[in-house]
Amino acid sequence: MKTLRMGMLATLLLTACDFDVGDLNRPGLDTLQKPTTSSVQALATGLLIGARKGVTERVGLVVEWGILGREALVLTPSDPRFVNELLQGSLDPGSNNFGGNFWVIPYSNIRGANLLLHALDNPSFVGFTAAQKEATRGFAKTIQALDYLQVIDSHDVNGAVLNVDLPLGQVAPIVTSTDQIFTFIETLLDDAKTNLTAGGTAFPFPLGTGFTGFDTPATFLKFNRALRARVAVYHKKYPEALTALGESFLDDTKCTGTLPPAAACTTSLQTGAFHAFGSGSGDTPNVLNTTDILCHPSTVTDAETGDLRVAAKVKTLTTPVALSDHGSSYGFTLYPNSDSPIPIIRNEELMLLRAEANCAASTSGSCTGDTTAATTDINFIRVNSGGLAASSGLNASTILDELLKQKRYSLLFEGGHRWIDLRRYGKLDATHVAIDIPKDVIHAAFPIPLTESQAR
Amino acid sequence: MKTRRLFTAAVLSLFIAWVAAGAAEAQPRSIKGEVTDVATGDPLPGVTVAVEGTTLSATTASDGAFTIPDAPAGALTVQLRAPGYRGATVSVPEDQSDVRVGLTRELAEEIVVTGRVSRTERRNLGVSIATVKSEDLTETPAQTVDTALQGKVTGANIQRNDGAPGGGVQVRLRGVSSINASAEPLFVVDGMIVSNVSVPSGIFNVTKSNLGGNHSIMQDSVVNRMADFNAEDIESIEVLKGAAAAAIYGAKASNGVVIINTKRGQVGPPRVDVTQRFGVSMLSNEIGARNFGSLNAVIDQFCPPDKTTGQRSATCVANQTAYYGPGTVYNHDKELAGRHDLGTETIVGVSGGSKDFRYFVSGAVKNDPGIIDNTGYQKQAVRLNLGKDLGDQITVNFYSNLIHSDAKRGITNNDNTNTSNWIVLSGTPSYVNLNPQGGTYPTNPYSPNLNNPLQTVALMNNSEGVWRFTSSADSTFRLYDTEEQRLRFIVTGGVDRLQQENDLLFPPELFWQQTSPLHGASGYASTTGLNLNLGLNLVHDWRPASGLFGAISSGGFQYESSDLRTYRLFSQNLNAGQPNIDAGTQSSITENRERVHDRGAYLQEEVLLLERRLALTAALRGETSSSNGDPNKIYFYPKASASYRFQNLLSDLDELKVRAAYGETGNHPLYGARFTALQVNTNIQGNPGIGVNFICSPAAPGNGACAGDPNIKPERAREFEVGTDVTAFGGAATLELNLYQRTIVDLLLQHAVPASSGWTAEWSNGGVLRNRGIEIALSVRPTLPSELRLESTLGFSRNVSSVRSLPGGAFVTGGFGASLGVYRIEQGASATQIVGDVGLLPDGTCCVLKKIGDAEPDFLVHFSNRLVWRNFSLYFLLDWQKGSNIINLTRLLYDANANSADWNTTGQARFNHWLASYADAYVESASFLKLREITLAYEVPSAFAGSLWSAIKKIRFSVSARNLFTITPYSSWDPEVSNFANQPIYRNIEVTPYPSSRSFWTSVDMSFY
Repeated sequence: MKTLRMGMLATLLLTACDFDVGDLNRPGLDTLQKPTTSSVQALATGLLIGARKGVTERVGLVVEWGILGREALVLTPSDPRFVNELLQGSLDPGSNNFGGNFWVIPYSNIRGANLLLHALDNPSFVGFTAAQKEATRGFAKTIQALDYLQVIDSHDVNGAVLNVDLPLGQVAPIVTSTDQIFTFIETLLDDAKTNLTAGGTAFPFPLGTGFTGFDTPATFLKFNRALRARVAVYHKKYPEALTALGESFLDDTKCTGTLPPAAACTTSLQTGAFHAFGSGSGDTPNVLNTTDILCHPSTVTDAETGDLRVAAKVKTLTTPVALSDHGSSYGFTLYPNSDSPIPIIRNEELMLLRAEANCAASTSGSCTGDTTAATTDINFIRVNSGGLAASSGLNASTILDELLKQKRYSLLFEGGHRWIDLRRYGKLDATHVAIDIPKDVIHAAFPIPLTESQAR
Repeated sequence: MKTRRLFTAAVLSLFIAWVAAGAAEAQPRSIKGEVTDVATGDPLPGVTVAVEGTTLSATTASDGAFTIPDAPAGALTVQLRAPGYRGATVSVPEDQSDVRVGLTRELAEEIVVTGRVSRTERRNLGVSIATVKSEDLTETPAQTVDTALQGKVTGANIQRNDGAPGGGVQVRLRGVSSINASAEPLFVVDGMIVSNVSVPSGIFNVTKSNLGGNHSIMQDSVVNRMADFNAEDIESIEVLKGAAAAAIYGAKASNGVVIINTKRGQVGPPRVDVTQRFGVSMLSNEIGARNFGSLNAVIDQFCPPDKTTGQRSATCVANQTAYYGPGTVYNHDKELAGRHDLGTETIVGVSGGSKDFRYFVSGAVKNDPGIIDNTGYQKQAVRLNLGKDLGDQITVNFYSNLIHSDAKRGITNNDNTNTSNWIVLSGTPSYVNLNPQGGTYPTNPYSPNLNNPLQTVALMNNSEGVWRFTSSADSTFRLYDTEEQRLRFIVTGGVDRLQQENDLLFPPELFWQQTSPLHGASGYASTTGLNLNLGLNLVHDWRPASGLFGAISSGGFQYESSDLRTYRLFSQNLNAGQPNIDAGTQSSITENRERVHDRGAYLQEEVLLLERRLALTAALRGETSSSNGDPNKIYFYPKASASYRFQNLLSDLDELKVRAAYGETGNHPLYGARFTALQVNTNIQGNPGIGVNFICSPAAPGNGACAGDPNIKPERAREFEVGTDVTAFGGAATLELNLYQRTIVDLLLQHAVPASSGWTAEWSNGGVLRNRGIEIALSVRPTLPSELRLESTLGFSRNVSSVRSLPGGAFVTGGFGASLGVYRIEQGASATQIVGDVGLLPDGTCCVLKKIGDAEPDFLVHFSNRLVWRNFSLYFLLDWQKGSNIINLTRLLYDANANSADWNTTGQARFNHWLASYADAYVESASFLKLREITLAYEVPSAFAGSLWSAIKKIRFSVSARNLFTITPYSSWDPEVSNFANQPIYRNIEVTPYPSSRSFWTSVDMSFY
């Protein structure tokens, strides 16, 4: 046998030449061992692509979280699970499309950010100046925080995995304390702030039109602070939230309360950071404008008469759609085109976050903070965004419901704000959410995917 | 480059040898003769003719002729020997120089393949090799070669993926041998390894099937390219099911090897065979839809009362009343798939040859219309097979085949955009009139995008054009040729080039294009494949005159390469509806490339001892491949077998052979499994970005890379096989029995990993999968009253798989999610088990996971009969599958839309069961009994045929049907189904496929010579 093998070995060696074939389609992970300027730039811009991933899909967060909060409905013969899992039954930890995506997609981008951070730390990488490296670190950590926020927004008390910068094969524990998770995200954003502050005057890579106005380290920091304020509010750290809002791009100076609101006012409320889309080859188009994505009828029936936001965001369909005992005659007009951007965070939300931080609601839902300031900001939105009269009778016990209502219409179909906000205040119930038929239920959070929970 | 040059040189030398053909010089004094088969009268090539008492010998050429020059004067004795034939001794008188001898076949006389080039008598085989002959392949017309094989090989489970015209068939030999790597057997045509690649059409760009719960782009009703080959060109197919038989093919053979030998010319005057067929295909059954019966039922369904007011919306009621109209019930299945246009097939073959030159030329033209409008399959093919002797020392054979096909496959299977025909129909009540009125199609109010499938099929195009050229050659140099010893050097080489072009067009006039923001879609994909083979072999055949023993030693070297490149263009918002890609305002392009180089060498020794009753074989193959983590590491695949024949143990028991064999084969890692790649084909508004690619769909070219393993190596199948072959009643009955155990170790696993890592799956080797099975094949040719002849074959096979170990724990390999049932690989369980949700956990959360089915059948039985009476013959083939389950999501969709035919009786309860988190509601039995083939033929008496025109030697009329009936509890079209095309594990998932049809043919076969 040995001689046989030796003989065969000899035959193969005799005819040997270089038979190796590398990866003909993609660069390998190993290329990052010696990072080049272009690969680090591509990794950085890639984080924006990763953060955008899935957002526009029918099984993405805008649609699915919208369905859970009864902002939206998907009625399609091609997949009954939009009704039978999201509106009824129970969420399945074995399902990729109905929950799994909100775990898989952010964590892949978190890995991307970690790869970028390691590349920046790699001593052989000399393509960026020290300041450029700091700016890029601050950017990477901010996007990473946004990804962690997606995980906790969708999974809430079911938990998240925090320290994931480990070699493949090692797993960190699932942390179920939301306090611990929010603290982790806050630390990440604060670290990013330190990096961005030392980040010089420009990013060494393009951020695209989604970050117009936030595309230098100094202005990107305002975006970072805006996210920090949102996390602090979610975390009920109201003074921290107010501090962060002060350092963010919150702007209440462009609106004068005239009706209809002046263009400068509307533009100011729209100002923010967005997921950008495009129709070029290799880009991702915004496909939220399909006929099977509907606006939940309660959005229209619950609205105050004359709310400009409903008129601007919702259209009446010529043919109502009905399926599985659910139906709607309304669609959205928010994202008409392939390149319509989807907001990450806007000035309008910052105004409402400030109201929420000033209200500082107790567990009973009654404001314990500066109710005057909260009322001012709520009315600011009622008038300048909704075109409605200022509300005069707000008091400590009614502010929260009015605030949640304004958030509902101001942030309609922008990423499940309604669902998240109601959950935060324990209001995911039939009083606040339209239950169309008795067997419908309201899901509070997605389960941890099976592949994750079974690995421990 | 070096190998390319080596290859070119070899091809050139073959060619030069070919054109340098020279006639052997005639000898003035010699013995000439011809050897034939006494039974058939066919000339016998390869017979050793030796003059007793001398060292003189010769071998007959393909025309059975031999010449022994310089024969001594005086009376001689000549000995004739040929594998599979009884030897003969003939006296040649002094004055005779011309010898004509007929040889009689031994029992179990067939010659079968044992190595890369060596062949032996079937009776000396130590392993089980199934052979299917030409007449059994083409008795009943089949769409493709692989469908023609259905039910003809014991131990092979051959199933179609859907009913679309043009193929899409999976061949599984002895169960599953892989979990995440290739599931395809190796196909070898005339010594050339040919491509059986499956390339999606790109219709996933329209259906977005890959954006659902499964990222695979193999949901395009994909055709595997064996569909290109013509069954009528085939002389025989040998199927190496197990590792013990296939080890010589090394790391390409763990799914078995299918060796196809095409027809060759026979010495004689030109013979022309013509077959003309006409046929129709018809929808085999209907799914049907709910009959609402009354407007009230419609309003109840679609206009639920408001929960606060208790009132129904007046608009809704008015709309539904208008849609319901007079309440006419339409049969949408028939409207969409009710076409039965005439299909035709014309096949012409010309063959013949002179003493040292043989030819076979064939042409085929086929038109097979589909049962859905605008679908169908057309094929034109020519084949040229030539054989030439260059003197006594060299024989060259050349095979070439040029094929063009065009398959229009429609739009079926899974979608996420309400575009696939039956996805739309699942939500379309039966009272909706979809038929054109006054030349205009109505919109479908029940489809969110107004999709009327009748309009869709009328206006769309999904065509797959394939040009394929395969050519191979072998050249045998008889280096040393004596009575007892023969040494041959055999060079084989070949080229397989394929180009597949997919054209898609969905014009802006389609309702569902008008309701989308971008009007009109056009797609084009171009795939080019190139396979190159080169083999150098040395075979030494030693057969001492004593006849007591013999030995064949062989060895050789092979180089094989395969290249595949796919470009996909997709364009939307077509300017003025112009179909050109550049007419769209939004275009995307993707590219995927694969390249593999393999080298291998082998040594094989076959020994016959104890009066040639004991046969021993041993071989070792070594291989390297660029698809392995270490492209220079050599992996070895040994095999060994032994068989012993007992003769005339009992009266009527002619021969009993017992055999045992062991062999190892491998399965290469998929291309790219070595690499952890970053996603590059993405940008954000033109700014390029790379990132972690978490989509790990192994069957999806372009998406395949995930976390790779730089040390990946082939998975290895170790198979032990024992068996017996019995021949009784003078050959009137044969029985073959096989027991095997195949253990696959170092499984190539794309194991799910916790997604918090950033990846969802990682390639690695590990785990053990075991298949155990039994195969029984019984053939009888009973003695019947004169003029009546019956050949009957019964095959039974059963395979049981079990995952013996699985480091890293259980993982899901395919499906749409646990609420619909998924294929889960789990230690101790069957590899093809289906698990799913079966109710909530005690704490009220979702869900208890349990096995709810298994794709593997309990057993397969096939039963074929050929009954001949005078000039009539009747052939039929029954195919029975017991057990096996299918996840039937077609039914789920109909139920979810409250539109299933049995909604009012059982559908609603079934759906409620599923809503309570029971995935087993849609897991169904796939047992079936099919009358796969039936043909009744009449052959015109030759005297009468000859009286019409003396050149006519045969006229045969026949009527045939394929899948005439299917008895099955399965509720949808066909229990042969796979939404994801060919898959190692997760076949048997149905999502609104192209419906199955039964086809009827009338044929005329004529022969002239």
